[in-house]
Amino acid sequence: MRSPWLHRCAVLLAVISLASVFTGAAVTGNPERPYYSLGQTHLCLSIAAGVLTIAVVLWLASSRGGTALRRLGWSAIAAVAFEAVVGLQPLPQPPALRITHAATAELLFSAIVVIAVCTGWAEPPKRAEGSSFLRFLGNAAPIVVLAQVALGTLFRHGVLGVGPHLIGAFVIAFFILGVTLSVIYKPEHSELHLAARSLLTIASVQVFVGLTLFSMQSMDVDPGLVILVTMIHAATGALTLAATVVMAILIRRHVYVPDSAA
Amino acid sequence: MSTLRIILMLATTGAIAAHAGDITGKVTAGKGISVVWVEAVAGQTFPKPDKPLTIDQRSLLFQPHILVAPAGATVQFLNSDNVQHNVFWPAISGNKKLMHSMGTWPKGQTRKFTFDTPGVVPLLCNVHPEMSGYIVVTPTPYYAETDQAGTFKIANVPDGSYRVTAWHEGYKNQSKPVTVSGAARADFTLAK
Repeated sequence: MRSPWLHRCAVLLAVISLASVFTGAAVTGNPERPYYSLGQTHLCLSIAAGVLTIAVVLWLASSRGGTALRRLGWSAIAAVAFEAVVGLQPLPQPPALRITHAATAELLFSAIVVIAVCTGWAEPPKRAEGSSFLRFLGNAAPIVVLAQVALGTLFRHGVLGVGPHLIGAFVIAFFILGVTLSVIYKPEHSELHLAARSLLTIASVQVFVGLTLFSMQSMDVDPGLVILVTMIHAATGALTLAATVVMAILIRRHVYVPDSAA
Repeated sequence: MSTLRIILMLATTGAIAAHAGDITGKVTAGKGISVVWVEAVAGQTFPKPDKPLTIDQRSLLFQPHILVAPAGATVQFLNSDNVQHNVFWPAISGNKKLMHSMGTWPKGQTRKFTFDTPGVVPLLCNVHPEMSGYIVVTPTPYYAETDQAGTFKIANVPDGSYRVTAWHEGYKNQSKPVTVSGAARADFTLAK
């Protein structure tokens, strides 16, 4: 039996990590840029997240059960070390470094959210029969969202135009609507309803914020507001990825496909 | 007639040689170039520059990183990158009322702006946080960029008493009085 405090610490870690992703989009070497001071807090938040990650993973390692979760924890520590090495390089950093740092941060956040969710499980799952298509959608959604996050990161750091990222938004919408609606309208998947509604809400916010940001480029808008919306978009992108990963795990936990279960 | 013209030319040349000089010196600050300029003197006006200056946005950099432009100069901003860029400045020499956004535009296009107010204009892009550049708008056409060692020379400054200011990215400006009488020297040590 894991301590409820481990779960609470993991949730706190997830919140700090999200704040770190949010402020990471404001990091700049120029003090004249709006939200420069918020970008400066990124280092403090990242250090806090790194220390707490190590603490949570060590706590997790000392508790019984959950080999896969412990492995994920060790991977998270490796990612923290990698992020520290890359992130502490002097500004301005070359694009490859910035892209790697941003993409790894989003993956690390997903791993932390998974740890936070899984450490909160107290009882065995109530399983229900489901289709292999739901399983497929559940597994594919995080991959598609990860690709979209990568496209967004490549756009934000000047490697690609916005076109592929915009097309990606429509592909994402298809997968996320497919997963969430397949669950929400089936009473037997009631265990998944909260996660599905949360994913749908987060993804909707992300698409709305993204389209707002895109339309702001062609309007005479305060540049500070554009930067703020960019930061929100980066943070909700990380949340969307984490939500799809959690959804995929929950589908695997709660849904069985008759043929494979036999 | 031609003799008179030669006499007039010689007289004019002599007058310039007698009433103008160079300000030389050294700016001690961090890495990179500094900019030194002669501050405006009340009542003096200068013609606006004819040709526009250019800042290119290439490889996610403002090139040149620092551009010096006398007040009234027009600067054209070219986007040479494959991605869209925005150009804005949140203030001019700290005056937030002078903030301005030029909008966002794609590769190959330019937008122009005439800088009438002297001051340091920090250039930023709201899409790419790592992009940063400066336009130093000087109140007079008497200015110089230092070399990497910090030495500078402002040529042909009319004799007189002036305030000369030195600027370096990330450092506090420093001004000092300089009297030009044929030649003058001004050294600056800037602090963060």
